[in-house]
Amino acid sequence: MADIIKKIFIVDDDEMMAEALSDYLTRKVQHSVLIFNTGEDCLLHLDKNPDVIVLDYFLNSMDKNAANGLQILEELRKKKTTAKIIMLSSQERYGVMLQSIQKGAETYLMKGHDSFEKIYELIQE
Amino acid sequence: MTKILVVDDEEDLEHLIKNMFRKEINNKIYSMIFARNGKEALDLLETNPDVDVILSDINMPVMDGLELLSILNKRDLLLKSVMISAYGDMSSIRNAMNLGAFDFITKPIDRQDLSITIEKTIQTVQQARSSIEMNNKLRLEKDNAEQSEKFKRQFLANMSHEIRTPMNAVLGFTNILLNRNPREDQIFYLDGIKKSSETLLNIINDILDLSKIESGKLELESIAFQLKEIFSQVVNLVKRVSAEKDIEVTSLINDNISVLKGDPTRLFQILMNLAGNAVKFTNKGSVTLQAEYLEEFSKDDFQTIRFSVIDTGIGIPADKQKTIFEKFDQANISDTRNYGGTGLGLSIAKQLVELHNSQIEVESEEGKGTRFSFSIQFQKGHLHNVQETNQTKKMDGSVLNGLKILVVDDVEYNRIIARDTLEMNSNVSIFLASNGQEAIKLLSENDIDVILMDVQMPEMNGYEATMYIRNNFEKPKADVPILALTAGVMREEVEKCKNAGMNDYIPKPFKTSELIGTIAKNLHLKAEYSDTTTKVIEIEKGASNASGITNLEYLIGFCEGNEEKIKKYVKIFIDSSAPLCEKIEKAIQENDAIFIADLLHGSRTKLNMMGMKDQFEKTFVLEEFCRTNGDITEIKNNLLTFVSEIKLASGELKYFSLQGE
Repeated sequence: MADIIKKIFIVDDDEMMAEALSDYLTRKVQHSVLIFNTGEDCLLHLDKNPDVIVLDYFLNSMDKNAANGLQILEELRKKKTTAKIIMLSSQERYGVMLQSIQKGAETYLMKGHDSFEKIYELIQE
Repeated sequence: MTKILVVDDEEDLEHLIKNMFRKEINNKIYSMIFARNGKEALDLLETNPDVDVILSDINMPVMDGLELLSILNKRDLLLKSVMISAYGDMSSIRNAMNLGAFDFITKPIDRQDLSITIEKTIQTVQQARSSIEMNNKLRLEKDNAEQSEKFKRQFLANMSHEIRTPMNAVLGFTNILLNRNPREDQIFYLDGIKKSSETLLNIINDILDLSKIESGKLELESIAFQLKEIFSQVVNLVKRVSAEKDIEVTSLINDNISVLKGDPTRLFQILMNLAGNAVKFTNKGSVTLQAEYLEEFSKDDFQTIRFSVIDTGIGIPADKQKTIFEKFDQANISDTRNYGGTGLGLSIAKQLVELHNSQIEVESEEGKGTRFSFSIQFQKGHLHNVQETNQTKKMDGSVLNGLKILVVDDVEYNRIIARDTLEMNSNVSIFLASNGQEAIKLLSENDIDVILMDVQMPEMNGYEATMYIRNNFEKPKADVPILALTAGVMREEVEKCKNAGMNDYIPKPFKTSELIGTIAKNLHLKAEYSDTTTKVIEIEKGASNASGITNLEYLIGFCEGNEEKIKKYVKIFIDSSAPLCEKIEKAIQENDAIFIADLLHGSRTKLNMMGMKDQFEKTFVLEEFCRTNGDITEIKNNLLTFVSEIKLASGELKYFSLQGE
């Protein structure tokens, strides 16, 4: 079966994390990946119709006042994007997880040693 | 006794339960308390923290069962809740389970169902309780063991430090006097002082080595070296020791042996201990060092070498051949008096050989002689990577001519020794300071080329002074080479020096050649080292050796060896580290704990990718402290160290990436 190439947005203020995830996801399949360091930046490029958006919760290490992942998630839903949204965070808070799901994220993943693999699997689905 | 809290606004449940478990309540197996709503239940929990199980209705006035659950859920308690709901009310049940309920039963309540559910719940709570107790007990035992090991190491470190400090003065002054044209009879006495203090120092080093090996703290290095050089060093030293005896010392080395990669210092130590031992117990004849290349055991990139130390000495009786490797054991008690030594040498040699995954074999015949042998497999090295291993080689001090050197030490003797030793060998200007603050003042007023920094000092110690200079001075003064000159030689102390931002380390008491060589090396002056060879070795160390702050093993694996990708990540790290450090430093000044927590949080992937394990671990502790305390005053120094470590790593990686161009 031929692998389907998908358009993936990675939204993470941690450039290292974003690059590493991008490299990981494109190891086997030539997905097209765009990296955004802020959520606001990602919102400006929705016209590119991403299939998947991997959204980090913490986004303010570059700009203290940058919106967090939940706020961006809300905006994404308002803009009626059809992308599958994977919320990513090492914030092990029940509240953030619940809210992410309520606000329409497909999945909530904790950052961990196997999160790259899980994201890869979710994208292949 | 199991305590059950029953929460229901109707009295039916209370009656039912009292009735059902009458026997258990009377026999004091269960105790029951009752609340009419969630609020009352919470109040009761305040005075009854030992409740094991809550049995609660969902629909109640004031505070319902779901709200109660969500409050309990946040408290991370050991107790479990069982919810009672109307039959078929699936949405309440789902909500309750999502909020952390352990189980549920539906109305009308079936006696057997209730009884089984409660039993099952109690069992789970008890299991959790006992596993936590067990964990606590184990943790306590582990802590105690670790604590006592730590005390032992701390004691050794202190002892070593306390003995080394005066020894530095004894050896240093003796050397200075020996250089001031002493009379012939004085030379004899001074030589006696020098040799005795060197022996004492060797004993201290032996004890420290043994403690390091036994606690598993000794790691083998992997650097390129020439076996011939090691052999000639051992032979030269052994000849010196045996000068008064009628012994021939020779070395036989196979021509097929190439440049090897391994730990030359430890190999030297093994051979020296064995050869020293051989000389000690041989009065006539010969001591021979031999290295053979064992072709049949060698693979493509590896060479297996068999080493032998053969003497024609008194030999070891068969029944003693096993025990000679034990600590403080010599074949005869009287040997200690006749031949001297601590009896640690062979034990250290044996353990060092074992660290190389090998074994020492001994063949001996009383009155004829002894042969110690062992085989080690080495990786093949490359000639251009060979570092100058001969540290005892005479250094020409003129290489330091014209330098301005700041010596910082609180002990006056030590300052004078360093000053006189340097002035005697080269034409330098020396500045003296007795603590970190004086050093900082002198540095701000003068153009200093290099600082020799003691570590333990009153007012401001060497670590603090170094961090201050690295963080608060303008360039180029902020980058002045700082070399630790310290009597502390335990690994932790050496690492602390590096972490504080020092460039290198010279143990006290120092040898003149070592002092001059280390200064020259760090200022990139052409002395015994040629620039290119040291560079290669340092890069190898920085990239993969434990002595560097970064370790690119993981990154190389992640990038599957793709050099371009590796460089990309290294560049991201270098580019982002300066702004990150600036932000943390600014936030430290503003005491913005939450932002620092966010920054630490966000730095983890970077640290992980660069193999900075220690710093990675640190972020968790520091982040938690920031979030719970909201104030960073107490951990300010830790944060500053963290920042300086990132800077250090960035420097190290810059070196690495330059090399690749």
